[in-house]
Amino acid sequence: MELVLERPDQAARGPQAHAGRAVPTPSIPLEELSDAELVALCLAGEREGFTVLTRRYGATVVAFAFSRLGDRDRAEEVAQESLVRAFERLWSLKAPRVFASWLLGIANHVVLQELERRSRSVPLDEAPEATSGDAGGPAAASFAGESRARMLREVNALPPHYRLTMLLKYQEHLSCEEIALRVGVSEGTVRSRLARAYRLLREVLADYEEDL
Amino acid sequence: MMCREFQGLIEAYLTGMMHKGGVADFEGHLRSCSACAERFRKAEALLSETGSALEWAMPEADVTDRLVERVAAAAIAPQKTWGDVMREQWERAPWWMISAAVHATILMLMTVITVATASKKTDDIVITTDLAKKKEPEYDEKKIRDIFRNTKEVEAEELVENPVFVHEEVEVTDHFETENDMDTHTARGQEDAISDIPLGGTGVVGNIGVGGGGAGCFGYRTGGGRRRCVAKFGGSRASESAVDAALRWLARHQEPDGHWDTQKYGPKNPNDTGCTGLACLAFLGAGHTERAGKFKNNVKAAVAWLMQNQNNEGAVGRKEQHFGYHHAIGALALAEAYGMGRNPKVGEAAQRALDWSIDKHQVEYSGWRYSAKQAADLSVTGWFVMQLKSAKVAGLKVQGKAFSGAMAFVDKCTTKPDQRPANVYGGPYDYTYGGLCGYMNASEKVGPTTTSIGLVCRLFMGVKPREQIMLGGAECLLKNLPSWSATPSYFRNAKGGNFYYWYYGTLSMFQIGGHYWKAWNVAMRDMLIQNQRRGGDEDGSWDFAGDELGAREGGRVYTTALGALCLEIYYRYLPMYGK
Repeated sequence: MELVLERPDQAARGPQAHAGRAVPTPSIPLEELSDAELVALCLAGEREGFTVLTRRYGATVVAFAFSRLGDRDRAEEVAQESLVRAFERLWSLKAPRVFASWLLGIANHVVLQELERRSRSVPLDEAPEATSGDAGGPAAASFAGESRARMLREVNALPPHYRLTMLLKYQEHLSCEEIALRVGVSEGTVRSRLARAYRLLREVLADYEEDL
Repeated sequence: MMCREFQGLIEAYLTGMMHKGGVADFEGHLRSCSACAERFRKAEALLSETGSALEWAMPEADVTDRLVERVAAAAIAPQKTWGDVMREQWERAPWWMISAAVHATILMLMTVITVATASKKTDDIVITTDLAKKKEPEYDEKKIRDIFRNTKEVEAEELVENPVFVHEEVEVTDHFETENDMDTHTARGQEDAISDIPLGGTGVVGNIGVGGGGAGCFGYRTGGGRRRCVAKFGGSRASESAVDAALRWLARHQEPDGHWDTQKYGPKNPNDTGCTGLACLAFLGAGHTERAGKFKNNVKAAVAWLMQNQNNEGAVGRKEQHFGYHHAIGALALAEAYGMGRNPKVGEAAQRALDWSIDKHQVEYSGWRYSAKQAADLSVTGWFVMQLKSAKVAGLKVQGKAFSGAMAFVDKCTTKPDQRPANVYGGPYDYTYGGLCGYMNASEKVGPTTTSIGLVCRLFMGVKPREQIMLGGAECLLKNLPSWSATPSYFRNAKGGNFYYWYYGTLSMFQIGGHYWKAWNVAMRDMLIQNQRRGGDEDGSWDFAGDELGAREGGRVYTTALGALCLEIYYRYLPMYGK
């Protein structure tokens, strides 16, 4: 699998065209490109690249939003909003290989806005528990068992790289090698992130683990 | 494996981060300890449930198709013009922002008009000035080199009414932080090989033992462990600064393909393999491996070059004069690089080099010299013994017969108590205890340099540092402390610099310890620090006397690598017996 790198055709590109970046000309299916290569394609105006990224991470973003909001329809809307924002601001992404973490960061921001909007519109006596930072959505407790909601909350509270690795492993069922290829790091780094995520989760869920 | 260690490794095991040996130990403990087995089961169950929860949160499969359509409709399909974007922004903007923008525009216009009117009334005034050239800082040769930042002393017990909290952004690392601050555990060397236990047994092989002794471990070459060793064994900020400067010089003068071109820095003939090995050892000695440390790329390139120059039989190096040295030093560097970096390809190369040393090069029941099976000399044998020891510590398979032969040859070169050799260099000597060494036997070319090699060989093969035969040699070295201008030369009565002697002497006196090490350390450390070049292209390197054997062959690369290795002694190998 070899990519030929060439300058983007500036004249034919859309408003997000980003001069000066090397762009891979795919001689292989787009689905096999890494995130960084797809981002480079998008910036050169190949919008199909973003479609592939949407297919790749759309469900993960919906799941992430759902675990915070507890509402599947609203989660889809949040995911859509996040993806649109990501597309519009793709030019500002300095390290294309961290696209997935960056996208989840945007989703986190949209979720927080949604929670804030809810807290303003819901009367005080009906308001859910206060949510702040990376804390999970209060509705989580109502839509599933308390323990499951707590686990989702703790996964969401992990540092971005660790959270993404967990999501790709357990939601996309990718192997460490596949995760490494997708996010553009070594396999050892993926394993290390996973091990750290496990350790952090075991620390915060120590009481739960004790009862298992 | 202890229970505590087991529990700290659960995550590493579950993610497949452990090496084979570690997995075997881990699983062995898992089978034998019911409490840990239960803890492991709970951890697995927790992670399994977390995985199930994450899976449960996933939406239906058709969500992706819907999202693609919606995102395309919302962002991708409509090709917005600049006017569309501006109109959108205008509509979204609050009234106060529009008001502010209008006021700002008016204010700007008024300013422009005022300035334009005023400038017509004045003549242009041109001021010329000579900009002072930025002065290059002069290099103060007397100033002590110090790479450490000055830290402010604070009273720890003093209470502060309004403490200031500083939040620094920290970079998230991809690896576990370790006690020694390096980003991988492997940089510490093979844990199993570290031991302060005196080596038991009477036979040579028994003394080396599985895993090697304290002298063979890779010590605490990095981070907190290194700082403690520097403080404990007589190093200083200045010695650490000198090591740093020396490594920088070596890094600056490494060729793009990873080797050092010795002819550029002194010698008439190339001696690249041995010097590349020495430079590589200098980096490894300060904890830089192929995978960790700021010079990891230098180490990686040097190791790759050594491997490229290994032939099919296992011999390392180009066809250079006195080939035995080159192979032994190159192979020693490969063994250490493998011991610290655990790269299987390097391990395979180091093993082949080791087998070649023993099967093809060593004289049966004796040592080594320049070419295969040539009658041994102590100088070349010293490097081979270090190779065997490092290979052993790195976990490679070393044939016992190699040590037996080496020990027999070292014995042959060592004087017995009251034996007076026919031909000696330097002096005066006390022959009472014996322990002095000659070049190819105990009666000729006896001197402090060969004696220091004999001491190192014995120490690396398990002889206790305070045995009588060792103290006889140590007394000889004590009478010939390092001196920039007055150290006995290699095999001559002439005086001059002798990095070769300083290196072996440092290795041996450090292990022997006591007043021997104190005296040697002060002389060696201060001499090297004071004579290290400062400023210019040669900053961080050491000069060499033109006729000094070794330096004449290896030039500045050789002296700088050995100088750094001498000053890394405090942490390069742990002392065999706790001091």
